[in-house]
Amino acid sequence: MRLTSSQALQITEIIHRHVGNSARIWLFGSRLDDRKRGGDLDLYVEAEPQSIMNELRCKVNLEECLDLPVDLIVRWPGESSPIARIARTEGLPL
Amino acid sequence: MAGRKLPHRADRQNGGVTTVTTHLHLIWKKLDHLVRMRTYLTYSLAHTTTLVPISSWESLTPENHETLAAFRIRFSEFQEHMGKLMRAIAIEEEQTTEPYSAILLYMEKLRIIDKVERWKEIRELRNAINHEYEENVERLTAFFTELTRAVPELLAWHDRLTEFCETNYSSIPTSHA
Repeated sequence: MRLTSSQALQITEIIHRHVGNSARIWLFGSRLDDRKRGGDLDLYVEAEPQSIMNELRCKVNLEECLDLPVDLIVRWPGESSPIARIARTEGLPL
Repeated sequence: MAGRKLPHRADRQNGGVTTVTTHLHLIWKKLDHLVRMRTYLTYSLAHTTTLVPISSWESLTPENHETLAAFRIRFSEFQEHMGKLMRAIAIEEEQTTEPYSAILLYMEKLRIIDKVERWKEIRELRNAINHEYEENVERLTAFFTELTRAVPELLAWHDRLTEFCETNYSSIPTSHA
């Protein structure tokens, strides 16, 4: 995983602050591959329903704090879309 | 237009007259373009507000979908073009332009935009609505509602940008006089 423990901690702290402490977070995509360089930070989050603007503020906050482009997907728990399945099965829970 | 002698802002060097640079001409060209884009965006907004909040996505006609598509694109293009004008102004004022946040902070200082964070939120909103993962009707409905809410803010910032340029780059080429 190309993410420091301090970055992982920052991510969970920011996400919990914006979308609630019960949110579950997965890191997926190219940041899981140690052979790659750079790239977006792909995060999949399961959280209770909330406003779209809340999610967007969370993304802006993550990008500012980490200085990395973030692709944040927030969905209800148990969603069955293809991207949700990929994130939950291939991703790494934070 | 470059090379023409016209009155400039309380002039930096030569007593009220300066050369309209290619860069200033570019700024005025961008302003001109924004006026046209604003007309299209306002037109699309008027049609979109009759549709939002969207209670039933299935009941939308192909014409309704076209209205929403045009609104989404015009909104995105308007903010993007305004961002380019802001960069051009920052360059003209010899300010830092990298990262882009530096430009936004400068615009906040000039009181052209209210808050850097709000500009970024709106940018994220337009990016999100174009996102490939967005197939969820409820989310799309929420996105369109938020987009319509953000238009008056964009228009107010556009007004302030125009005012800034008129005040500070008053060497208006003939086509703008």
